[in-house]
Amino acid sequence: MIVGTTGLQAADNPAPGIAVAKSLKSDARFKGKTIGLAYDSLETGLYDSTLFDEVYLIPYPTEASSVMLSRLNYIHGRSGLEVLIPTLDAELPLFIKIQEDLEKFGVNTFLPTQEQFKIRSKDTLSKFCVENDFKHPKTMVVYDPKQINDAIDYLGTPLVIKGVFYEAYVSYTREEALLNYQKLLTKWGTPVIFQEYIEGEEYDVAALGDGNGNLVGTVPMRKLRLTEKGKAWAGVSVMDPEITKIAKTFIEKTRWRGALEIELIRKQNEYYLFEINPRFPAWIYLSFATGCNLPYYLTCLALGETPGKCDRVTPGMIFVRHAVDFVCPMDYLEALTTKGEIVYKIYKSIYKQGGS
Amino acid sequence: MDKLKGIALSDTGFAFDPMTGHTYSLNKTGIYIVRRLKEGKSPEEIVQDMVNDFEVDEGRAREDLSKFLEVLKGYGLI
Repeated sequence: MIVGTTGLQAADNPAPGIAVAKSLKSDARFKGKTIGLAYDSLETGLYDSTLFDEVYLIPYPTEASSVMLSRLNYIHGRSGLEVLIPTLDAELPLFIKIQEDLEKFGVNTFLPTQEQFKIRSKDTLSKFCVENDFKHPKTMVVYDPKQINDAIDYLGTPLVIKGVFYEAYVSYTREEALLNYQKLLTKWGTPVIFQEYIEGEEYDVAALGDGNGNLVGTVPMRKLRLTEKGKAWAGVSVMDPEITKIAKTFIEKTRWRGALEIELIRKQNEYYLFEINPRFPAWIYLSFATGCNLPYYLTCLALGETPGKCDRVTPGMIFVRHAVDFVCPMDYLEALTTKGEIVYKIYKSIYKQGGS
Repeated sequence: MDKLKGIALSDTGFAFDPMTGHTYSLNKTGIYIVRRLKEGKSPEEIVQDMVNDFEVDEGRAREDLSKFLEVLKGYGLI
Protein backbone atom coordinates (compact mmCIF):
# COMPACT_ATOMS: atom_id res chain seq x y z
CA MET A 1 0.00 0.00 0.00
CA ILE A 2 1.49 3.32 -1.02
CA VAL A 3 -0.77 6.06 0.25
CA GLY A 4 -0.50 9.79 -0.25
CA THR A 5 -2.28 12.42 1.77
CA THR A 6 -2.60 16.19 1.58
CA GLY A 7 -3.24 18.60 4.43
CA LEU A 8 0.14 18.66 6.16
CA GLN A 9 0.00 22.03 7.87
CA ALA A 10 -0.05 21.50 11.63
CA ALA A 11 0.67 24.91 13.09
CA ASP A 12 -2.19 26.59 14.97
CA ASN A 13 -5.01 24.87 13.10
CA PRO A 14 -3.84 21.38 12.10
CA ALA A 15 -5.02 19.92 8.83
CA PRO A 16 -6.00 16.23 8.80
CA GLY A 17 -3.25 14.77 6.62
CA ILE A 18 -0.79 14.18 9.44
CA ALA A 19 -3.40 12.32 11.46
CA VAL A 20 -4.28 10.20 8.42
CA ALA A 21 -0.63 9.24 7.95
CA LYS A 22 -0.23 8.54 11.66
CA SER A 23 -3.30 6.28 11.65
CA LEU A 24 -1.81 4.24 8.80
CA LYS A 25 1.74 4.06 10.15
CA SER A 26 0.48 2.98 13.58
CA ASP A 27 -1.53 0.05 12.24
CA ALA A 28 0.28 -3.32 12.08
CA ARG A 29 -1.90 -4.25 9.07
CA PHE A 30 -0.47 -1.37 7.04
CA LYS A 31 2.49 -2.51 5.02
CA GLY A 32 3.74 0.14 2.69
CA LYS A 33 4.73 3.76 2.41
CA THR A 34 3.11 7.04 3.25
CA ILE A 35 3.63 9.96 0.88
CA GLY A 36 3.13 13.54 2.03
CA LEU A 37 1.72 16.00 -0.50
CA ALA A 38 1.79 19.73 0.23
CA TYR A 39 1.24 23.06 -1.47
CA ASP A 40 3.95 24.99 0.34
CA SER A 41 7.50 24.08 1.29
CA LEU A 42 6.89 25.14 4.89
CA GLU A 43 3.87 22.91 5.54
CA THR A 44 5.03 21.41 8.80
CA GLY A 45 4.28 17.75 8.10
CA LEU A 46 6.79 17.71 5.23
CA TYR A 47 9.56 17.65 7.82
CA ASP A 48 8.37 14.62 9.73
CA SER A 49 10.31 11.69 8.32
CA THR A 50 8.79 9.37 10.94
CA LEU A 51 5.39 9.86 9.31
CA PHE A 52 6.23 10.20 5.64
CA ASP A 53 8.60 8.10 3.60
CA GLU A 54 8.58 10.62 0.79
CA VAL A 55 7.19 14.13 0.42
CA TYR A 56 6.33 16.16 -2.63
CA LEU A 57 4.99 19.58 -3.45
CA ILE A 58 1.94 19.69 -5.66
CA PRO A 59 0.38 22.60 -7.57
CA TYR A 60 -2.45 24.62 -6.05
CA PRO A 61 -5.91 23.33 -6.95
CA THR A 62 -6.65 26.65 -8.64
CA GLU A 63 -4.31 25.65 -11.47
CA ALA A 64 -5.71 23.73 -14.43
CA SER A 65 -6.51 20.11 -13.65
CA SER A 66 -3.98 19.01 -16.28
CA VAL A 67 -1.23 20.56 -14.16
CA MET A 68 -2.27 18.54 -11.10
CA LEU A 69 -2.69 15.37 -13.15
CA SER A 70 0.74 15.75 -14.68
CA ARG A 71 2.38 16.26 -11.28
CA LEU A 72 0.58 13.32 -9.67
CA ASN A 73 1.50 11.13 -12.62
CA TYR A 74 5.15 12.03 -12.02
CA ILE A 75 4.81 11.31 -8.29
CA HIS A 76 3.13 7.99 -9.07
CA GLY A 77 6.04 7.05 -11.32
CA ARG A 78 8.61 8.14 -8.75
CA SER A 79 7.06 6.71 -5.58
CA GLY A 80 4.55 4.10 -6.72
CA LEU A 81 1.68 6.15 -5.26
CA GLU A 82 -1.47 4.03 -5.50
CA VAL A 83 -3.99 5.66 -3.15
CA LEU A 84 -4.60 9.36 -2.67
CA ILE A 85 -6.51 10.65 0.37
CA PRO A 86 -7.20 14.39 0.03
CA THR A 87 -8.11 16.09 3.30
CA LEU A 88 -8.76 19.76 2.50
CA ASP A 89 -12.20 21.13 1.66
CA ALA A 90 -10.89 23.60 -0.91
CA GLU A 91 -9.12 20.93 -2.99
CA LEU A 92 -11.86 18.31 -2.98
CA PRO A 93 -13.86 19.68 -5.92
CA LEU A 94 -10.78 19.29 -8.12
CA PHE A 95 -9.95 15.77 -6.93
CA ILE A 96 -13.56 14.69 -7.29
CA LYS A 97 -13.50 16.01 -10.85
CA ILE A 98 -10.29 14.19 -11.81
CA GLN A 99 -10.73 10.96 -9.83
CA GLU A 100 -11.36 8.86 -12.94
CA ASP A 101 -8.36 10.37 -14.73
CA LEU A 102 -6.20 9.57 -11.71
CA GLU A 103 -7.40 5.99 -11.73
CA LYS A 104 -6.32 5.62 -15.37
CA PHE A 105 -2.67 5.97 -14.43
CA GLY A 106 -2.96 3.96 -11.24
CA VAL A 107 -3.76 6.45 -8.48
CA ASN A 108 -6.94 5.37 -6.69
CA THR A 109 -9.15 7.55 -4.56
CA PHE A 110 -12.36 6.88 -2.66
CA LEU A 111 -14.28 10.10 -2.93
CA PRO A 112 -17.89 11.23 -3.01
CA THR A 113 -19.56 12.18 -6.26
CA GLN A 114 -20.10 15.82 -7.22
CA GLU A 115 -23.73 15.46 -6.23
CA GLN A 116 -22.95 14.03 -2.80
CA PHE A 117 -20.38 16.75 -2.24
CA LYS A 118 -23.00 19.40 -3.03
CA ILE A 119 -25.72 17.91 -0.77
CA ARG A 120 -23.67 18.49 2.38
CA SER A 121 -22.22 21.86 1.46
CA LYS A 122 -22.97 24.62 3.93
CA ASP A 123 -25.31 26.45 1.59
CA THR A 124 -27.52 23.41 0.87
CA LEU A 125 -27.27 21.28 4.02
CA SER A 126 -30.27 22.90 5.68
CA LYS A 127 -32.54 21.83 2.82
CA PHE A 128 -31.26 18.24 3.09
CA CYS A 129 -31.87 18.24 6.86
CA VAL A 130 -35.45 19.44 6.42
CA GLU A 131 -36.16 16.84 3.72
CA ASN A 132 -34.71 14.03 5.81
CA ASP A 133 -35.86 15.01 9.26
CA PHE A 134 -32.50 15.79 10.84
CA LYS A 135 -32.66 18.33 13.66
CA HIS A 136 -30.53 21.29 12.68
CA PRO A 137 -30.06 25.00 13.43
CA LYS A 138 -32.19 27.43 11.45
CA THR A 139 -30.12 28.66 8.53
CA MET A 140 -30.20 31.42 5.99
CA VAL A 141 -27.83 31.51 3.02
CA VAL A 142 -26.92 35.09 2.15
CA TYR A 143 -25.91 35.90 -1.41
CA ASP A 144 -26.67 39.62 -1.29
CA PRO A 145 -25.92 42.21 1.42
CA LYS A 146 -29.59 43.25 1.24
CA GLN A 147 -30.49 39.93 2.88
CA ILE A 148 -28.37 40.50 5.98
CA ASN A 149 -30.87 42.35 8.13
CA ASP A 150 -33.57 39.82 7.30
CA ALA A 151 -31.21 37.02 8.29
CA ILE A 152 -30.39 38.64 11.63
CA ASP A 153 -34.08 39.34 12.32
CA TYR A 154 -34.99 35.73 11.47
CA LEU A 155 -32.24 34.11 13.53
CA GLY A 156 -31.82 36.59 16.36
CA THR A 157 -28.58 37.09 18.25
CA PRO A 158 -26.30 35.52 19.06
CA LEU A 159 -25.94 33.82 15.71
CA VAL A 160 -23.18 32.02 13.83
CA ILE A 161 -21.78 33.37 10.58
CA LYS A 162 -19.85 30.96 8.37
CA GLY A 163 -17.72 31.16 5.27
CA VAL A 164 -18.69 28.74 2.52
CA PHE A 165 -15.45 26.76 2.94
CA TYR A 166 -13.90 27.64 6.27
CA GLU A 167 -14.28 29.73 9.39
CA ALA A 168 -17.22 30.52 11.58
CA TYR A 169 -17.82 33.32 14.06
CA VAL A 170 -20.37 33.64 16.81
CA SER A 171 -21.77 37.16 16.61
CA TYR A 172 -23.48 38.61 19.64
CA THR A 173 -24.76 41.86 18.14
CA ARG A 174 -25.99 43.09 14.78
CA GLU A 175 -22.85 45.20 14.36
CA GLU A 176 -20.60 42.25 15.09
CA ALA A 177 -22.57 40.16 12.59
CA LEU A 178 -22.03 42.78 9.90
CA LEU A 179 -18.31 42.92 10.57
CA ASN A 180 -17.98 39.14 10.49
CA TYR A 181 -20.02 38.99 7.30
CA GLN A 182 -17.60 41.41 5.61
CA LYS A 183 -14.61 39.47 6.87
CA LEU A 184 -15.89 36.17 5.48
CA LEU A 185 -17.15 37.68 2.26
CA THR A 186 -13.73 39.19 1.57
CA LYS A 187 -11.90 35.97 2.34
CA TRP A 188 -14.19 33.27 0.92
CA GLY A 189 -16.71 35.03 -1.29
CA THR A 190 -20.42 34.28 -1.50
CA PRO A 191 -22.51 32.88 -0.19
CA VAL A 192 -22.09 33.58 3.53
CA ILE A 193 -24.11 31.32 5.80
CA PHE A 194 -26.06 32.69 8.76
CA GLN A 195 -27.05 30.09 11.30
CA GLU A 196 -28.94 29.93 14.57
CA TYR A 197 -26.65 29.69 17.58
CA ILE A 198 -27.47 26.63 19.65
CA GLU A 199 -25.80 26.41 23.00
CA GLY A 200 -24.82 22.93 23.97
CA GLU A 201 -22.04 20.37 24.01
CA GLU A 202 -20.08 19.77 20.85
CA TYR A 203 -19.75 16.30 19.42
CA ASP A 204 -18.21 15.16 16.16
CA VAL A 205 -18.40 11.84 14.41
CA ALA A 206 -15.95 10.60 11.80
CA ALA A 207 -17.50 8.05 9.47
CA LEU A 208 -16.85 6.09 6.30
CA GLY A 209 -19.41 5.11 3.68
CA ASP A 210 -18.81 2.40 1.09
CA GLY A 211 -20.68 4.14 -1.72
CA ASN A 212 -23.50 1.58 -1.63
CA GLY A 213 -25.41 3.08 1.28
CA ASN A 214 -23.54 1.08 3.92
CA LEU A 215 -21.73 2.43 6.93
CA VAL A 216 -18.25 0.93 7.32
CA GLY A 217 -17.61 2.53 10.69
CA THR A 218 -18.10 5.55 12.93
CA VAL A 219 -15.98 7.12 15.62
CA PRO A 220 -18.03 9.55 17.73
CA MET A 221 -16.14 12.04 19.86
CA ARG A 222 -17.02 14.59 22.49
CA LYS A 223 -14.86 17.73 22.46
CA LEU A 224 -13.17 18.34 25.78
CA ARG A 225 -11.16 21.47 24.98
CA LEU A 226 -11.53 24.02 22.25
CA THR A 227 -9.13 26.53 20.77
CA GLU A 228 -10.15 30.16 20.25
CA LYS A 229 -11.22 29.15 16.77
CA GLY A 230 -13.50 26.46 18.14
CA LYS A 231 -11.28 23.53 17.08
CA ALA A 232 -11.05 20.48 19.32
CA TRP A 233 -7.75 20.31 21.11
CA ALA A 234 -8.74 17.40 23.27
CA GLY A 235 -11.58 14.95 22.97
CA VAL A 236 -12.86 11.59 24.12
CA SER A 237 -14.43 8.76 22.13
CA VAL A 238 -18.02 7.92 23.08
CA MET A 239 -20.53 5.30 22.04
CA ASP A 240 -23.92 6.99 21.89
CA PRO A 241 -26.07 4.94 19.45
CA GLU A 242 -27.97 8.13 18.54
CA ILE A 243 -24.83 9.60 17.01
CA THR A 244 -24.11 6.44 15.04
CA LYS A 245 -27.73 6.43 13.84
CA ILE A 246 -27.34 9.97 12.47
CA ALA A 247 -24.21 8.99 10.53
CA LYS A 248 -25.81 5.74 9.32
CA THR A 249 -28.94 7.51 8.14
CA PHE A 250 -26.97 10.16 6.29
CA ILE A 251 -24.84 7.54 4.54
CA GLU A 252 -27.88 5.43 3.64
CA LYS A 253 -29.82 8.34 2.22
CA THR A 254 -26.94 9.78 0.21
CA ARG A 255 -25.10 6.49 -0.52
CA TRP A 256 -22.07 8.43 0.63
CA ARG A 257 -18.74 7.30 -0.77
CA GLY A 258 -15.68 7.99 1.36
CA ALA A 259 -14.79 9.84 4.53
CA LEU A 260 -16.88 12.39 6.32
CA GLU A 261 -17.16 14.24 9.58
CA ILE A 262 -20.52 15.23 11.03
CA GLU A 263 -20.53 18.07 13.55
CA LEU A 264 -23.27 18.03 16.17
CA ILE A 265 -24.47 20.07 19.11
CA ARG A 266 -26.15 18.21 21.93
CA LYS A 267 -28.81 20.21 23.71
CA GLN A 268 -31.18 18.68 26.24
CA ASN A 269 -30.36 15.16 25.03
CA GLU A 270 -31.06 15.97 21.38
CA TYR A 271 -28.48 16.26 18.64
CA TYR A 272 -28.52 19.10 16.13
CA LEU A 273 -26.57 18.58 12.92
CA PHE A 274 -24.82 21.78 11.98
CA GLU A 275 -22.11 20.83 9.53
CA ILE A 276 -20.85 17.94 7.42
CA ASN A 277 -17.27 17.93 6.17
CA PRO A 278 -16.53 15.65 3.19
CA ARG A 279 -13.21 14.34 4.49
CA PHE A 280 -11.51 13.05 7.63
CA PRO A 281 -11.13 15.47 10.53
CA ALA A 282 -7.82 16.51 12.05
CA TRP A 283 -8.51 14.32 15.10
CA ILE A 284 -8.89 11.11 13.02
CA TYR A 285 -5.88 9.48 14.67
CA LEU A 286 -8.27 8.82 17.57
CA SER A 287 -9.99 6.30 15.28
CA PHE A 288 -6.89 4.11 15.40
CA ALA A 289 -6.95 4.16 19.19
CA THR A 290 -10.62 3.12 19.31
CA GLY A 291 -10.02 0.03 17.17
CA CYS A 292 -11.83 1.50 14.15
CA ASN A 293 -9.01 2.78 11.98
CA LEU A 294 -11.02 4.61 9.33
CA PRO A 295 -8.05 5.81 7.21
CA TYR A 296 -6.89 2.19 6.95
CA TYR A 297 -10.39 1.05 5.96
CA LEU A 298 -10.66 3.80 3.35
CA THR A 299 -7.32 2.71 1.89
CA CYS A 300 -8.68 -0.84 1.57
CA LEU A 301 -11.82 0.41 -0.19
CA ALA A 302 -9.75 2.53 -2.58
CA LEU A 303 -7.78 -0.56 -3.54
CA GLY A 304 -10.95 -2.55 -4.14
CA GLU A 305 -10.50 -4.64 -1.01
CA THR A 306 -13.16 -5.44 1.57
CA PRO A 307 -12.21 -3.60 4.73
CA GLY A 308 -14.38 -5.37 7.25
CA LYS A 309 -16.63 -3.40 9.57
CA CYS A 310 -16.21 -1.55 12.82
CA ASP A 311 -19.16 -2.67 14.88
CA ARG A 312 -17.96 -1.18 18.09
CA VAL A 313 -15.47 1.49 19.00
CA THR A 314 -13.74 1.63 22.36
CA PRO A 315 -15.17 4.54 24.35
CA GLY A 316 -13.03 6.53 26.74
CA MET A 317 -10.00 6.92 24.45
CA ILE A 318 -8.72 10.45 24.73
CA PHE A 319 -6.79 12.55 22.29
CA VAL A 320 -4.82 15.59 23.39
CA ARG A 321 -3.00 17.67 20.83
CA HIS A 322 0.36 19.28 21.48
CA ALA A 323 2.85 21.05 19.28
CA VAL A 324 6.20 19.50 18.46
CA ASP A 325 9.21 21.34 17.09
CA PHE A 326 11.29 19.71 14.40
CA VAL A 327 14.85 20.78 13.75
CA CYS A 328 16.66 19.95 10.56
CA PRO A 329 19.36 21.36 8.34
CA MET A 330 18.54 23.99 5.72
CA ASP A 331 19.08 21.28 3.11
CA TYR A 332 15.52 20.03 3.69
CA LEU A 333 14.03 23.40 2.82
CA GLU A 334 16.40 23.72 -0.11
CA ALA A 335 15.34 20.32 -1.50
CA LEU A 336 11.66 21.18 -1.17
CA THR A 337 12.02 24.64 -2.64
CA THR A 338 14.25 23.75 -5.58
CA LYS A 339 13.27 20.16 -6.36
CA GLY A 340 9.84 19.98 -4.71
CA GLU A 341 10.51 16.59 -3.14
CA ILE A 342 12.37 14.62 -0.52
CA VAL A 343 12.68 10.85 -0.53
CA TYR A 344 13.78 10.44 3.06
CA LYS A 345 15.47 7.06 2.74
CA ILE A 346 17.78 8.38 0.07
CA TYR A 347 18.07 11.81 1.60
CA LYS A 348 19.23 10.68 5.02
CA SER A 349 21.92 8.52 3.54
CA ILE A 350 23.39 11.54 1.81
CA TYR A 351 22.97 14.30 4.39
CA LYS A 352 23.66 14.42 8.11
CA GLN A 353 20.50 15.04 10.09
CA GLY A 354 20.46 17.83 12.67
CA GLY A 355 17.88 15.99 14.78
CA SER A 356 14.11 15.77 14.87
CA MET B 1 -30.86 3.26 36.79
CA ASP B 2 -30.00 1.83 33.35
CA LYS B 3 -27.81 4.82 32.61
CA LEU B 4 -25.87 4.32 35.83
CA LYS B 5 -25.20 0.70 34.95
CA GLY B 6 -23.30 1.89 31.87
CA ILE B 7 -21.01 4.17 33.88
CA ALA B 8 -17.45 2.96 34.37
CA LEU B 9 -16.37 3.58 37.97
CA SER B 10 -12.80 3.12 39.19
CA ASP B 11 -11.62 2.51 42.73
CA THR B 12 -10.37 6.09 42.91
CA GLY B 13 -13.85 7.44 42.30
CA PHE B 14 -13.24 8.51 38.72
CA ALA B 15 -16.40 7.80 36.74
CA PHE B 16 -16.85 7.90 32.97
CA ASP B 17 -20.08 7.84 30.99
CA PRO B 18 -19.16 6.15 27.70
CA MET B 19 -22.29 7.47 25.97
CA THR B 20 -21.87 11.16 26.61
CA GLY B 21 -18.15 11.33 27.38
CA HIS B 22 -18.84 13.04 30.72
CA THR B 23 -16.55 12.35 33.66
CA TYR B 24 -17.22 12.70 37.37
CA SER B 25 -15.22 12.52 40.59
CA LEU B 26 -16.81 10.82 43.57
CA ASN B 27 -15.70 10.72 47.18
CA LYS B 28 -15.72 7.50 49.22
CA THR B 29 -19.37 7.79 50.14
CA GLY B 30 -20.31 8.51 46.55
CA ILE B 31 -18.41 5.42 45.39
CA TYR B 32 -20.15 3.35 48.05
CA ILE B 33 -23.61 4.49 46.99
CA VAL B 34 -23.06 4.30 43.22
CA ARG B 35 -21.66 0.76 43.48
CA ARG B 36 -24.79 -0.34 45.27
CA LEU B 37 -27.07 1.41 42.83
CA LYS B 38 -25.26 -0.34 39.97
CA GLU B 39 -25.86 -3.66 41.76
CA GLY B 40 -29.56 -2.87 41.65
CA LYS B 41 -30.06 -2.15 45.36
CA SER B 42 -33.01 0.01 46.33
CA PRO B 43 -32.55 3.27 48.27
CA GLU B 44 -34.00 1.57 51.36
CA GLU B 45 -31.44 -1.23 51.15
CA ILE B 46 -28.64 1.27 50.71
CA VAL B 47 -29.76 3.23 53.79
CA GLN B 48 -29.60 0.01 55.81
CA ASP B 49 -26.13 -0.77 54.46
CA MET B 50 -24.95 2.72 55.38
CA VAL B 51 -26.27 2.37 58.91
CA ASN B 52 -24.50 -1.00 59.24
CA ASP B 53 -21.20 0.07 57.70
CA PHE B 54 -20.81 3.65 58.88
CA GLU B 55 -21.23 5.38 62.20
CA VAL B 56 -24.40 7.12 61.09
CA ASP B 57 -28.02 6.98 62.21
CA GLU B 58 -30.81 6.10 59.85
CA GLY B 59 -32.18 9.62 59.60
CA ARG B 60 -28.85 11.08 58.59
CA ALA B 61 -28.12 8.27 56.15
CA ARG B 62 -31.52 8.74 54.51
CA GLU B 63 -31.00 12.49 54.20
CA ASP B 64 -27.50 12.16 52.72
CA LEU B 65 -28.61 9.50 50.27
CA SER B 66 -31.58 11.56 49.20
CA LYS B 67 -29.39 14.58 48.49
CA PHE B 68 -26.93 12.48 46.53
CA LEU B 69 -29.71 10.93 44.46
CA GLU B 70 -30.87 14.45 43.57
CA VAL B 71 -27.36 15.22 42.34
CA LEU B 72 -27.39 12.09 40.19
CA LYS B 73 -30.82 13.05 38.86
CA GLY B 74 -29.50 16.50 38.01
CA TYR B 75 -26.81 14.90 35.86
CA GLY B 76 -29.38 12.70 34.16
CA LEU B 77 -27.81 9.53 35.56
CA ILE B 78 -30.97 8.26 37.23
